[in-house]
Formats: sequence, structure tokens, C-alpha cells
Amino acid sequence: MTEIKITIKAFASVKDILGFSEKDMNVPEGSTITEILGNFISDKKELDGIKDSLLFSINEVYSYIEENLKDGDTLAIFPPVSGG
Amino acid sequence: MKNITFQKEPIDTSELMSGTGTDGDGSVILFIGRARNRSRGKDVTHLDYEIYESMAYKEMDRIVTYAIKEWSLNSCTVIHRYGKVEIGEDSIVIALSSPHRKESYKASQYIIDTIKKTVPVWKKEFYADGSSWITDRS
Repeated sequence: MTEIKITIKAFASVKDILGFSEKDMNVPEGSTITEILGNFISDKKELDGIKDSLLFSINEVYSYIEENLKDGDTLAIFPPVSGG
Repeated sequence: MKNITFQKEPIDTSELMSGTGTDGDGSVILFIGRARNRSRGKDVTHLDYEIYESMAYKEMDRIVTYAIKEWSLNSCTVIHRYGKVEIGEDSIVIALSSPHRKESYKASQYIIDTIKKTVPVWKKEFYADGSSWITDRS
């Protein structure tokens, strides 16, 4: 199976739970955000609890959870925003 | 005129206001979001904002560009702090101008409401006994 390399960024409470702010990852070509998230949720039960409210962006544009990743993409995972 | 800034340093509101507006503007609106000392029944000691800066700039630009066109603004500046913000300091300032007040008020409300929904910035409140990420949109 062909793999692609993506960068994952995590912010705020998601960063605290995952324990990193940015990391590169090899995933199968055509992976969706849901599938990539599955790698984390399996050993991070705290993330499972907030997964329904998580937001995602691919290359700095908001994305749906079923969107496919391409080689070189940057996926960001974060909780609802609270600026202002 | 459009200006979007994210900065760690305190915001100089006086300087900002003196540079806002044109001779064609009869209305200048300033909105300030300020760090307060009580939240959710607790005493807050300070705030800390985390930002996804490159995406935040794009989102903010989209919001401001829409507002300028929709309400015929002649100037619009948004400055948002990140990092540590002390109680009483301004966390966000929106300064805009238009020929008439109706448009200014509508634009100011739209900009702050939309920022709170879409711009990737996260607020963490610090208390005497801990801290908490804020995830609602109040």
C-alpha cells in the first residue's frame, strides 16, 4: 500500500491530550481524517470524550472529517475556538 | 484600509483611534474585548491565548474583507493579542469607520461574533488553583 507523508498540528486542549504540537506521520494514501484520528483515539481516551466537538483544517482551510489527505498536507486538529 | 494584526504586546488603543477613519466617515466604532477578573464563578488571575497564526490570519482576512464590502467600510483594523494577557488588558480591539453609524454598528457586531466562531485562537483562563481551556463561544 502506498503511503503519504503528512504533518499533524494540535492546539489547545487537543495538544495537551496528544502530548505534541506538531509531528510528521506516514499514513496510507487516501486516508480520511476519521481514519487518522483513529490512530490517536485508541490510546487517548480523553480525546474520545471530546471527539464530537473537534474541528479540523487541511492546509489552513476548515475541513470535514471525511476529507481525504494528500501527500504533503498539513492536518490541524483542535477544539472549538474561543478567541476574542 | 484594512489592517489585521496578531501581537503579544499590549494594544495602544489611543494610537489606533487617532488613525481610524477618513474625512468621508461620519461614524467610527471601537470595540474592545477586555480580560475580566471573574468567569464561571471563579476569580481569574490572567489569560493566555494560543493561536494557529497562519490560519488565523486567513480567517480574519476573510471576515474583515467581507465586512468591508458588505457595509461599505472605509477603514477596518482588528488587533488580537496572543500569549499572556493580564486582567484589565485588552485582548482584542476592532476599530472601523463608515459614512453612517448603522453600517458601522452592524459590521462591528458581525466581526466580533464571527471571530469567536471561526478564527483559530484559544483562551485559557488561569485561577489561583489551576487553569482551564475555554471551549464555549460566549
